[in-house]
Amino acid sequence: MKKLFIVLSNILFSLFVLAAAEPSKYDFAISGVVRSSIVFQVTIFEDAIPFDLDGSLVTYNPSYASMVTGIRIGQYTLVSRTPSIKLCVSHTPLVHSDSSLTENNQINYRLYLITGDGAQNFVSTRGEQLDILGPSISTTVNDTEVISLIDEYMYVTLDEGSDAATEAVCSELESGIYQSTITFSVWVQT
Amino acid sequence: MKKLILVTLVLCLAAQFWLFADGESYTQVDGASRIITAYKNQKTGELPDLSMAIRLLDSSDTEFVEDGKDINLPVDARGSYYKAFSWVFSGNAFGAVTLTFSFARMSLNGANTNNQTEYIPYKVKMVYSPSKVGNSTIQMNTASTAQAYMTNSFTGTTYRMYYADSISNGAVSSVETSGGESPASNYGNAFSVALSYNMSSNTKVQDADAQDKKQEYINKVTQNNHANVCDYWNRSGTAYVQLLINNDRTWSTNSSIKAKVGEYRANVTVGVTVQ
Repeated sequence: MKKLFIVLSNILFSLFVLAAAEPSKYDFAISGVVRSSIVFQVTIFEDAIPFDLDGSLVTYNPSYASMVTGIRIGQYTLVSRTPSIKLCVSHTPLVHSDSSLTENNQINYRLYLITGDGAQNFVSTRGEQLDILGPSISTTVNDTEVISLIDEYMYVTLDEGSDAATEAVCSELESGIYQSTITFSVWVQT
Repeated sequence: MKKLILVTLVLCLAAQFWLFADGESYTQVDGASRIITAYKNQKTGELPDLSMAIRLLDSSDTEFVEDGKDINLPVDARGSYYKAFSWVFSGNAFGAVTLTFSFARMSLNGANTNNQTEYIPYKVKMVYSPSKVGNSTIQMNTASTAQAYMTNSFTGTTYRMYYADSISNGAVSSVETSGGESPASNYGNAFSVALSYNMSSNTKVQDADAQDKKQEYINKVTQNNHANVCDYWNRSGTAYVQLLINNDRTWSTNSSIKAKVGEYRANVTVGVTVQ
């Protein structure tokens, strides 16, 4: 038994040594879509959460109301061979993880989704369901109207509707961890 | 007759349903839900670490400019200021911090050259916005109207902060309530613009437990409970660039020099210094 343990330990150790000694390399990836009519993926950046509600990264700034700002929270991909689809996005407010709290336990935010290049190519929601219709985000490739949004970023900014309201809610929040659920659904027109 | 009316009614309803279904019906084919998390600091407890971050937004303010990304200037930038990028500088140091923008020579393909036909002069105007603490806009360059702000993220509950910011730059000739500007030009040579922010010169602190309720400048009171950090601030502004060439590619500062056709590039480096 002791010998077996030693042998196993040596094998494991050598695996670690081999892994550590592997030379550095460059990884490249080219993505494509084959034989699939719709691809939808969402990724939340782990290093972006949890973010500080007191931090200026998520501070609501009314002068930026017409543009994307906030903390970059993740990215999404939506590819479709037909524009006859819609993407629905909604989210709950950030709510304190202690469900016994009944006051000063939540704050709303604005979620931005980039939908292409250019100043106006984004959509945002303060929680209400946002329907992004396929034709509004489609592009024409080889005379065919398609949707190709790959790794587009999402941003979060605190937003209770006004600068003063956001400040008031934020300053009174109970300390602790807050959570929000973002829900996406992809629909095909039938 | 009764039957005919009933059948007609049913047919009308069916037709309406069919028409409605044809244009509006959707079937869900995919979906996902994700949880994001945030935190609110303890109202009392440990002091946060000193931290600062600078982010640049592109000319359309839609994306953050990442290291190495190009910002393209349109023809409109010839002879008039064009919004090149914005900065959002955030952190929690109450001491003086300096934001330095270094602009290199704008030369053909970014090459190092002294041939005047291979670089073009340009100038930059930095327009800053009033600073913010948390979600509050605070006063600039004056302590008399400092924004009261009860700090709730650290130091306990006895200190009330009266935040005001200051910004100084040798090129700033006047300060406006809504912001100010710092013009700089190089006429072909590399140059830099340094914006020095100093919250400690105007911010005051009041010990709410003290009987006299005296307000003192933050840099004069005992700092045992502050450790050089204050509530998070947000200092932002916009850089405008004007290319000093005419439409025929001659320099607007010297029409005898004509820039070659090609792509001109100037590197911009942003640095942060904490005193």
